[in-house]
Amino acid sequence: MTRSNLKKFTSVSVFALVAVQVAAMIDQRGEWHVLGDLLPWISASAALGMVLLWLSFRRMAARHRSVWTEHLKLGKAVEALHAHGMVVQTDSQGRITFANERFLEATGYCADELVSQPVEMLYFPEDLWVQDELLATIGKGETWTGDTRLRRRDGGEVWTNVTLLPGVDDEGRRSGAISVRTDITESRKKLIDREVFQTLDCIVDQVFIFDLDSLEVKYANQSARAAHGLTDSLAGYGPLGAIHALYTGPEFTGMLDNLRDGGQKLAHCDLVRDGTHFEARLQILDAEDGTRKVLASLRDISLRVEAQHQRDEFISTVSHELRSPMTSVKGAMGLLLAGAGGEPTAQTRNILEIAHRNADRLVSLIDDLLDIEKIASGNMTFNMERHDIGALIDEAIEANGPFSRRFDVTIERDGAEGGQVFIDFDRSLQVLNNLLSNAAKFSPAGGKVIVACRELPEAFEVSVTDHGTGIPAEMVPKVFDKYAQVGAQRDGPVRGTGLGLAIVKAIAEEQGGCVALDSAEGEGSTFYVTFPKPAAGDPGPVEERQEKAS
Amino acid sequence: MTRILHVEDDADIREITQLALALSGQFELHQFTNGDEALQQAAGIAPDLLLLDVMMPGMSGPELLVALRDVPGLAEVPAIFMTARVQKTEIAGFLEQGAIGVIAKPFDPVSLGQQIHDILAAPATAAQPA
Repeated sequence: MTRSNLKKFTSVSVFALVAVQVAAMIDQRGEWHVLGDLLPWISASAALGMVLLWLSFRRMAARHRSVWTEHLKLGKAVEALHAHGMVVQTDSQGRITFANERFLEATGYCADELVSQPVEMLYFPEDLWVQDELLATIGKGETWTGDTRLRRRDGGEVWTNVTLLPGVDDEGRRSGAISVRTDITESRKKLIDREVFQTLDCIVDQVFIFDLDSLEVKYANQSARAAHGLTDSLAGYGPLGAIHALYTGPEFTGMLDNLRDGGQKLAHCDLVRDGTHFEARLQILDAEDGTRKVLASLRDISLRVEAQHQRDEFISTVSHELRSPMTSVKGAMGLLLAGAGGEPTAQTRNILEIAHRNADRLVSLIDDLLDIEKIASGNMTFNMERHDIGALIDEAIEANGPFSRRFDVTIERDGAEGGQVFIDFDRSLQVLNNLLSNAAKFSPAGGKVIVACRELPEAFEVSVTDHGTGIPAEMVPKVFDKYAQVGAQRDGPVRGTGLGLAIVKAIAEEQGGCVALDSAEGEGSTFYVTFPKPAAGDPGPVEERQEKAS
Repeated sequence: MTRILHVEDDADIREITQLALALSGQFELHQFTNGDEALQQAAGIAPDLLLLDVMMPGMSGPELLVALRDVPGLAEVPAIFMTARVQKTEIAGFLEQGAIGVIAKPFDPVSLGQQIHDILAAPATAAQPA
């Protein structure tokens, strides 16, 4: 019953009682009684009215208490909302009119920096399309809920779950928007972490994450758990060494030392665990809490190792199978040329020399192909030691004497520079042999090949100059490429394998040197190759070390 | 006259070797096609030098060398491997197995005798490949 209805009810009740009493005071004769007869009725009516009034007031007081209680509850709810959520209000122009403390705390702004500013300032440029979607939804008077990313004052990001409602102005009309956000950055990170770990669980490589200092294993993926018989555990897997002795072996601990003390972020090596070959890669993970964790991944490379082994066997076998018949071919021709079958005629000798020369080419081709294969597979080994560059040059010139005389070419050394270089002597000899034999082949009969040596700050540069046919300008950039045959179109006994200069370049670079070329067609060529000087502590040749030891 | 026990499975190379060493007339060659034959005859030959192929069917050159060392009188006889396997690490391996030198195939038949003399005069060691 409403307040007005109660009033009406009270008035009608009092009027009805008075009417009944007045009717009762008229007797059967139609005469009025005196006022004294009316008093009791008047008193009763007043009392009844008072009771009704009291009841009305009581009802009103109860309603008032209820409204007040609701007000208090609402106040508490708003207080809770501000404590938990990030609240921002914007006007019809999209300008910020209010941001609560929680929002300011999460974004790093102060209120003065936000109020009156366009709400777009809180978004990354690439996320502004989200803002357009929000405005479209609010424009239709609807509520939008979803996850958005906000840009912190320091440029960082805050992920929020937002509910956006249409706002109202002071007259109660729809205007602007109110957003209530929950900071989900941490939970989002955890979600991403979980997804990362789920992904790590799916990969074939064995993955561990452990503390670099304590070596306590925090995580092992499914492959690693299966390999070591570990049970999935949130509590970790104990110390690394307890999982397998390999992880306390010298190779693994050496890598850890490099990460711990060497300042490296990455380390890798090949390991053999229980007969299986692994490629181990260790990477430092800088955790937010300041601890250093290591992500270790072990990849089974047994198939690759086996393939490499088979490849090596194949190379070795091919080498043997090709060389053995060449031993007979070359040997037979060599014996005939030496007169083992009687003195050959001039014509026979000429024919035998052609065959013998081409047999030599075939052997060179076998050697070059094997070298190229070794270079390509990274299997060419280098025994790096200190040597004298002068001794290297002299030996190369001496070794090429017989070959150059075949072409009526003399090799001369210009100057007598000497000094220590840090090289593989045999491989370096191979480099100079190749350059000298090329120079002899491409020199005119009676020509000279000049070998010079020049000291550079960090290396010695050896140059080999001929005065032969030279190299066409368009071929110069390609001469160090595989199968680039400058003489391919030319006749005569000067063809090589097309691999020699590629091998020269590869060997020079593997030793830390480089190659270069100057050439003019019709004038000749100069090839340059550098051999690095030794650094302090680089070892000398074996014999020198043995002498020192004794 | 240097008496050589030569083991080589390739008949053509055996013949080339024989012709090449005959040029100098300073070698007495006893040739065998495999390790078993060589082992049976070795003691009676009493060679001054073992000249061994490496890759042979059955017993390989290095395996044969180990077996020959047990033959009375052959424990200290110098051995040279003749092989097409001449990668640096392979040569170092042959020297470690007790050879005093390695002659690479294909060899020069004219200078083969001189190569053998050179190796006998200055044997290589495992630490210093020839």
